[in-house]
Amino acid sequence: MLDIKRLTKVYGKNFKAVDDLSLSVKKGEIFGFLGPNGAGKTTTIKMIVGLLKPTEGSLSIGGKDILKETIAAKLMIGYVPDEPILMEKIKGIEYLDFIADIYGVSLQKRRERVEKLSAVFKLQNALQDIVSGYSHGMKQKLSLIAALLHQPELWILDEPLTGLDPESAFLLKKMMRNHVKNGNTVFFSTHLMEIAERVCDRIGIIHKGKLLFTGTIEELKKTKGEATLEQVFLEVTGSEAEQMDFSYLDASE
Amino acid sequence: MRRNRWISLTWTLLNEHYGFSRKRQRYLVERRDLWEPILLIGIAVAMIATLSPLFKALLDQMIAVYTQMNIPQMVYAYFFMICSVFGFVIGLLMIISVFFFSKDLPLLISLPLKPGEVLATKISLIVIDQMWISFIGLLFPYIYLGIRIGGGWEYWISGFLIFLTSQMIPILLETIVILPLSRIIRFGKHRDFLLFGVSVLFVVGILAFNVLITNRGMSGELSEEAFKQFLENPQNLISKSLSVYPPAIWAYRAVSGKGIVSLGWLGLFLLVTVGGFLLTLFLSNRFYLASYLELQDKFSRKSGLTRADLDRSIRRERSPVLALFIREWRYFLRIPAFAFNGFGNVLVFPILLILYGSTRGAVESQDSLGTIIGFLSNLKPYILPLGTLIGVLAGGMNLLSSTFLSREGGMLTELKAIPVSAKDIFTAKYLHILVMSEVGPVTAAIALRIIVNAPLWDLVLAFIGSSLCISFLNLIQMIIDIKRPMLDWDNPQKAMKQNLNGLFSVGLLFGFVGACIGIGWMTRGFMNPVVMFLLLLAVSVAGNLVLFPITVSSLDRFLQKDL
Repeated sequence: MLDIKRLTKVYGKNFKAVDDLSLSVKKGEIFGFLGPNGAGKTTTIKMIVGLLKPTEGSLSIGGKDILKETIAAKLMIGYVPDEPILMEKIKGIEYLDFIADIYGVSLQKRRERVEKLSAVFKLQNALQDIVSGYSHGMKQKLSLIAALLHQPELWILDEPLTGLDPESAFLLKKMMRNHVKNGNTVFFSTHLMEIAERVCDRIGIIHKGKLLFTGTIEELKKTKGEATLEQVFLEVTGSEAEQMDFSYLDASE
Repeated sequence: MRRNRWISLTWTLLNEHYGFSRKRQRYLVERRDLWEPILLIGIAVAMIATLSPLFKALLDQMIAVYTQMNIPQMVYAYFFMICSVFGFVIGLLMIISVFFFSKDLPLLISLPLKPGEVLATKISLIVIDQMWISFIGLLFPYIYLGIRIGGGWEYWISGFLIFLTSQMIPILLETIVILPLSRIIRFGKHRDFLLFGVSVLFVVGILAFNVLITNRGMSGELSEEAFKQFLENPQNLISKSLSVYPPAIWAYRAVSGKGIVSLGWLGLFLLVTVGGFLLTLFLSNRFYLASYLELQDKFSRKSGLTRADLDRSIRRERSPVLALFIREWRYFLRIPAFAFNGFGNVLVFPILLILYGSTRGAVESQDSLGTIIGFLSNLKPYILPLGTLIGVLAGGMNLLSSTFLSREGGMLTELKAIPVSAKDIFTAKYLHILVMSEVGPVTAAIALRIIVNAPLWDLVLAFIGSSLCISFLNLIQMIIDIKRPMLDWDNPQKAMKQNLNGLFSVGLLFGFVGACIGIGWMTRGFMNPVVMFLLLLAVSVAGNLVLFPITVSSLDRFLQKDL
């Protein structure tokens, strides 16, 4: 469903945010994209959805090249960014109606889906209000509903659980499972090891722009013995967090 | 506020506002986009080179007239007053945007600062920002007049200090009005619009009232003898001309007085400025925070979403272009700074024409608009090409085309993410701008009908001509914005009024109209006005045909680039 070949993104003259990254995500799987802050997760995702232009490499979604068949490729995606990008001065319902128009969702379908999805995420009470009055979590939910409105085959979710309340986070995980059960695909980034462990069929670990590992959690654990996933992650990404001393923080002057 | 804290805060805000660090990085370290400062310097040099002789001629004439009356310093006071009025008008929307809708406010409000401290810094920022008016309109007359009349130390010192503080009083006056007003306007969910609307009405009302009061007694009721007597005493002229803005009288006394008298008036001027500033601080501490916080009071009505609500809100399927077109209107109309600037830009010029035209007596008056109208009446045979150009002036100054991408700001990411083509985005935006621009030619046609009683068919043809020319100019302005959009603004006012693309487009508009008038003037002896009109039409049609595909492909290339 998603094919990434030798993807590289260079910022400025020589800062490689993503370095020769190749991976493919099959239909019917949830792929977790892990990495510390600044590892290149969001840059990769922005290239997948066409927000950034790769310096090198290619990207295709359902066989459609995002650079050459941009619109056809985008129609297959439901994208939720890490920070919701929404028009703040319009009503939530107006925003969803706009998105439905853009994706060509039929009248009947959009009414049905807005009703159901807003009920799932408990946003019915806010849809008639101006978006600028929403909390961060509510904006995140609106962004999610907008992304799911046109029944996309591939969900691309950048840190989707950040800002969601526990119930909504639980529901989203359930929806992700349900989505792939029907032959669709989910690609999402997260910092939360526990989520990755519980939800993902496969994961990829990116660090300093390079893809260090792709495979199942079990495969990753096998290579590192009995350690927890968090410890494995820290080891793979070369983190020195476990050895750090923070006693100076509370030391008296 | 401790001095170093104030300096640090002001410097940080100035740095953020003007992007000093970013520009240093871009121009000096990365050495890219160097054409921008070069172009700016080029435009400034060209403007100085072309306008200086005209400005000097105007100054010479004014100095000669006022020297005859033994009051040459009136020239300084006159330009001071003009700059203040400009500051007054231009500063209003800026004040409201910076005080209440700036994106840095949530951060500043969360810091341990008094509301007055936040506003003092913001006022410094606005005053520095407004100083370009005084730089253009007051600095040159001040230096030139000083040299011409051999101004004493009183002139140079007072003139310089008044120049430096010239934008303070207008901004402080408006702040003093707006702050209490912001506490009164506290009803309804559209309080941001109300704040803009009521403030504009209030300040325009004050200006209109002041002008009305000043003009009473000057409205042609004076006999010739009385008028002669009036002019014999220059003090009459000083008080009559400057009473619309009393600080201009103090400025005149300060630059014309000698010794202690000059210092006394200068003292009064500075005292009022400082007093105004202190009063602003007092009002800020009293009103500002409450008003700002109230503007943030947005909450869910918890009304629920029924089937009927859904059916009412989601009524029809639209094509992507229509959906984008509606998005464009919503975005434009629901952001007060965009709506007020957009409508203001296309309505101000024709409405002024209509107002002056409807009082036909003004034609005989000596003021500049009256002169223009008198001039127009003589050019009635040329109404077709001239009407077209007047329509172009009225509608072309929309500032919407030169900021069509800039106004998106961070929202441009949304446009990039959704599955729509550059052509669809262009079509929606182009149509929105065209509809708005048409307000100019329509009102200009009405104005011309009232003023010179132009034939209806000529006006219809002139309207069509204007529309085509405006479309052509809009396309050029859109290309300018595609080449250098200003996307990282922190308040919407900045996207329109402080966007250099607007300056480029105004230059383009006046250049186009000026060139057409110049060519028309040179060929008037042998070229029929209808031929002139047809040529104008041909140029704009050709321009449109060439620029449509170029604009779409430029936008497409731009949307493929990283933001």
